[in-house]
Amino acid sequence: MIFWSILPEEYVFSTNNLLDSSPLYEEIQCNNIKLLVEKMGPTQCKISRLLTTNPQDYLLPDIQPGNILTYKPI
Amino acid sequence: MLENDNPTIEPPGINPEPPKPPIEHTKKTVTARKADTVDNIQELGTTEVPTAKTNIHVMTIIGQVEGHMILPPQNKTTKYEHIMPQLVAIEQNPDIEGLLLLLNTVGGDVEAGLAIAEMIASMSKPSVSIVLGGGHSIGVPIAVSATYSYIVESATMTIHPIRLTGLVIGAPSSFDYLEKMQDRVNKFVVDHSSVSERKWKELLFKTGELSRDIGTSVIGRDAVSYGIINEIGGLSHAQTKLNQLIKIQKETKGLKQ
Repeated sequence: MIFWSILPEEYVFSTNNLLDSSPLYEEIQCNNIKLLVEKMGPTQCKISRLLTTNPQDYLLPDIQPGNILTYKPI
Repeated sequence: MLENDNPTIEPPGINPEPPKPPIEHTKKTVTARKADTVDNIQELGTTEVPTAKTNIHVMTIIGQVEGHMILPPQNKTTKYEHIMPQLVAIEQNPDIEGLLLLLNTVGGDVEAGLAIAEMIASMSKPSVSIVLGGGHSIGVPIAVSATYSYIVESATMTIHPIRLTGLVIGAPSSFDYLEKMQDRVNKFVVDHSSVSERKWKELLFKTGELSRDIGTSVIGRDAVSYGIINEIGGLSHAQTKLNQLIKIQKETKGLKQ
């Protein structure tokens, strides 16, 4: 891979942060919209980013970034 | 559940009671249904929510462009495997007529970036890009890949050669290899924008502009005067242009058929 960026290499590939408890991200599907969520435990997660190209999806109140979702058994 | 959630109509004659005023019924059912919908979205993600239809889809490219390697978690990345299927879906969906590309990127994987740029350039639907904040390194080819490109006045684009700050991992690090990689980027930018090859190379190898490096930091208006970007403008300009391009495409399609 050739990496071309204005950020210094030592910043991009720094491994110091691996020692910290960096959040664990996961991709889930909710209402046919792909979300990037931060795991908060076995049953809960916090929405961090929407992975959709439809601009109207970003207005849905239930999936605003920061909202906490609870996994429920179907 | 509410008592009258699912009212059934009694057969006539059996129940002599007059029916209750219908206004109350409707109110109750509506509230109950609303709560159901919200619950279903939160719990199961099943109910389809009626949303306003849009013919323009938007794609944000932020942080590093990530391709073959997963970058450490302190990096904000735009992933190749997210973008590519989305582009295919946009091209295939007949309801989507245009693509708006929002760029604020610091660079990334050259091959992933070039792949995204080639995909956008080869789409049949019109696309408009806006460079916001910064569109550096591999952000430049992605910005010019759109049918029409905008840059906001405050945005900058850093144009610098691959080999100086570039990191080579698992690839033959010979000068030739980097030179060829640089040529691919140069050719793409020159082909998809109105900048001349001479000017592009001059910006690329200029000394004294950047403190760490050779290269140039091009600010909004300069990017337009060099011919890299089409025009200065923000969201409303881009939206108007995209609508125009969609209209033109519809008309030309009509003529062909």
